[in-house]
Amino acid sequence: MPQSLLAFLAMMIATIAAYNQMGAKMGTYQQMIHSEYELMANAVTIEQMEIIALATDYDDLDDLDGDVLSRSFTAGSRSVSFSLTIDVLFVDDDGTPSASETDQKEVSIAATNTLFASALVTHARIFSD
Amino acid sequence: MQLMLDHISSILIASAVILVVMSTQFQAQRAATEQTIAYASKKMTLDLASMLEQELALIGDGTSDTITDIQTNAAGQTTIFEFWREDESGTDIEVTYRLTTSDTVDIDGESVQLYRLDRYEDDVLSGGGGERLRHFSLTMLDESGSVTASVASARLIRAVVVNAFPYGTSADSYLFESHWGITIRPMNLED
Repeated sequence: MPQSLLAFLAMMIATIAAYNQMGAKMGTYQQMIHSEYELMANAVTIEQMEIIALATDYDDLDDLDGDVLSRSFTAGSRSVSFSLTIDVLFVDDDGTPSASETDQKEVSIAATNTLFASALVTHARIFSD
Repeated sequence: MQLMLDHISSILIASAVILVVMSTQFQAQRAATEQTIAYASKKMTLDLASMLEQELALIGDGTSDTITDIQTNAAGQTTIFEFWREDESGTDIEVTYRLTTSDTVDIDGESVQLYRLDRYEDDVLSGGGGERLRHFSLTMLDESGSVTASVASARLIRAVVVNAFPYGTSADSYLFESHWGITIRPMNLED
């Protein structure tokens, strides 16, 4: 009887160790995939910010507030889609959000993908009048 | 008989425990190897990215000309990208990125061509990227972010790099490529 209990204990410990190792492995894979998506999201977010900087007058930046755009990271025939949410707010000289109008606006773009619950990257840039 | 059964059951249990422990050890080793390969590949990608990011911003810097040639292949990859910039001593140099075939690997049961990026200064080989590029493209964008073939209307350069992992195969690995992209705004394209 004691031998059976010891054998059962040994099996249980081995199984728990295998389960923990599998969990750690899955965590590592998820982290690696998240990292890949972050880099792709970073690319599309930076591009959108550059386009805004090029094509939008300072006075018209407010019009972009709340816009949600769909942009893709494309490499050859493969493409990964991201949703970009744009926020525009007034900030003071320290970059702190201001409830009143200032001569600086902060444009922030957050990129999300359906595979992940939270934003992968958020880029912010301050534009001056 | 009882003794025999005891021996058999203990051998079976010991074998099962050893099998589970060995399998766990093997899986842990494999995960660690894959992670190391992924980091190595990402480092190669980011080294190339760093070079591109710094150099593309200097297009036309201090020179009268900017981008002089851009050629793509059927897969949408940039095979030749030629532009002018100044070197550290202030001398005008013509830089050429040339994408050439290197190796072929099997990814998801499909034979995939890999490429090497060579960098030339005034037609003399001077640096470049890795030899495991699965995709490399430099695309000119106009002010609205649309792709343009005209250097005159180009304001942004979109760079995309996909690097295949230097070791292992897609059948054995969970991840086997690293991706990177950026869009640069070379100020000298805006004259």
